Amino acid sequence: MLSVKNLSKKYDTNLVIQVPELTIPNGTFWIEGGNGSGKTTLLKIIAGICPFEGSVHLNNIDLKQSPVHYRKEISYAEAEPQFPPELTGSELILFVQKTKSASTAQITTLINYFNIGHFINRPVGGYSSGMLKKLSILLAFIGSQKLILLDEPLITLDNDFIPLLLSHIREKQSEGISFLITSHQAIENTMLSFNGKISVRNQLVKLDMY
Amino acid sequence: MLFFVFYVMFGMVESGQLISYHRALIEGMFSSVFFQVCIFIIWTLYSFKILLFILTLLRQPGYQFVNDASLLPRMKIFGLIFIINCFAFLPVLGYSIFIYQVGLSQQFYISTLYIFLFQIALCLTNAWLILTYLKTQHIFTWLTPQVRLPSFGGRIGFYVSYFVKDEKIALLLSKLFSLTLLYFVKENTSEGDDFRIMGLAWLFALSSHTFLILKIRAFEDRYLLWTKALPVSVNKMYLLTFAFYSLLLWPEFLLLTTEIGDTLTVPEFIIVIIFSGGFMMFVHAYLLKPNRNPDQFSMYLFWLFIASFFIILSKLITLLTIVLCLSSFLMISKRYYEYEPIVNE
Repeated sequence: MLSVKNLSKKYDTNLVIQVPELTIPNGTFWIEGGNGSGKTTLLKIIAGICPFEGSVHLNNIDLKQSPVHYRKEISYAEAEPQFPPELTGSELILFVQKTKSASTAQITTLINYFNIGHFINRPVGGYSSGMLKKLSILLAFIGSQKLILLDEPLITLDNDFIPLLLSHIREKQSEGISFLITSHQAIENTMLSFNGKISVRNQLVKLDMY
Repeated sequence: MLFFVFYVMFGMVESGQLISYHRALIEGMFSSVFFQVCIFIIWTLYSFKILLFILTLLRQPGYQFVNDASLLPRMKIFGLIFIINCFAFLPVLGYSIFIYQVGLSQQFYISTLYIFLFQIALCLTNAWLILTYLKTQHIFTWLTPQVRLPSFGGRIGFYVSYFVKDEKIALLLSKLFSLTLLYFVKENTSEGDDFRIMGLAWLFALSSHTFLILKIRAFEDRYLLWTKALPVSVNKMYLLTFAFYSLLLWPEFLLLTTEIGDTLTVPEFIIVIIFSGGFMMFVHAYLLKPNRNPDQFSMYLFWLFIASFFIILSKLITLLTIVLCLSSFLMISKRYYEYEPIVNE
């Protein structure tokens, strides 16, 4: 369960997002909102990348008090990932594997399942946006996290990859892993089972359970 | 490299002797085949540098429109590229006017012709290669050899890869300065001399690396923000960055080992290593702030240098080491998760 209290985020003097109180139960939720509404900012705050005022707890683990423990429970895939261009995909995968103490078997399974083995030994600087996205999504599935944050997971991906991703999400859902997924497009028709929708509008966040 | 060339051309002799110096160089070029070949190699390297520069520009998004030139007739593009290349080669061509003048006046007709044809061949070769690129959008792999070190792995590996790929010149410049300075001080001190002389030289050497820390921070802001979402403790991150900066100073440490037993004891050498890491981390910690005003940073470095200078003079380097390491650790612990780079609009 994710709980947020007195959360606010400003860039300079501009209030981007304000959440007095929000409790998101375990499950899969679609975060929807217009451009610049704060969806990505909200995800980055929950992922621990973005500083903020207030508190965020995941299963009673405080993001600020227990930063390492919290981050073991969570993964994040950016909408437009940027990685050091001179590194290869495998080096990045190895780095994340070590930080999350993931097994080599899991890595091999993910690489084979997502079928990205043919390019991960090349420097990331030569990847297309779709390839970067696939790598970013794979990195988010490494480890034994309880919550996975996917920011615009379906953009720039080819038609072969999307069914694989959706199928893998369904598999993880059945294992009890929660997801927060942002998307401009209606993602409810993608055969994923959602527990609710989180609307981000006018700096406010509202949860609607299905 | 440019500094070296400038020094050879204008720094070796007094200003009143410049003309006779250059005349001697040019005459040496005509009378010595070996010297002429050396000059040809230097010109070839310069021409290659021009070629790489132009090809790099053409691959940048802002210069993509130049590729539309491939629609023009082949000979027209070739002529235009040849002229551009001649302009880029102008420093050599300009100096060559004096070479031709000396050569013709001293009746080195054949050698003068060779030099002229060689320079034209360099410009024509570059023009042909650039034309080939415009027409085929394919760069010959031998033009852009990729140096790839085996991966160190982890955060240190990220930094090393970045410097090897993108900041070779910056790294070489700082190394050139610091190693030259340390070597000079080493050669002019003897056994029994005060350790503080080397200590102060070391401080200068460290300061020459501070602009590399700026580059590391910019690299982190652009490519490593996502790692804040990973379960890596601030302690580990601090130690890894400390280790990287120590690795960066490895050539200087190696040079300093020759002083052990003379002006330096083993405990002092260890203190220098820790002091160096602490100093670099102190600057790194300062840069964990969104508003990185260059003037403020320069002022900060200046006062850090002055404070360190007087503390070293007072033989309190151990205390300084402890203060730098402790305060940099506390600053990073406080700022790491609170830091967010400003996005330029």
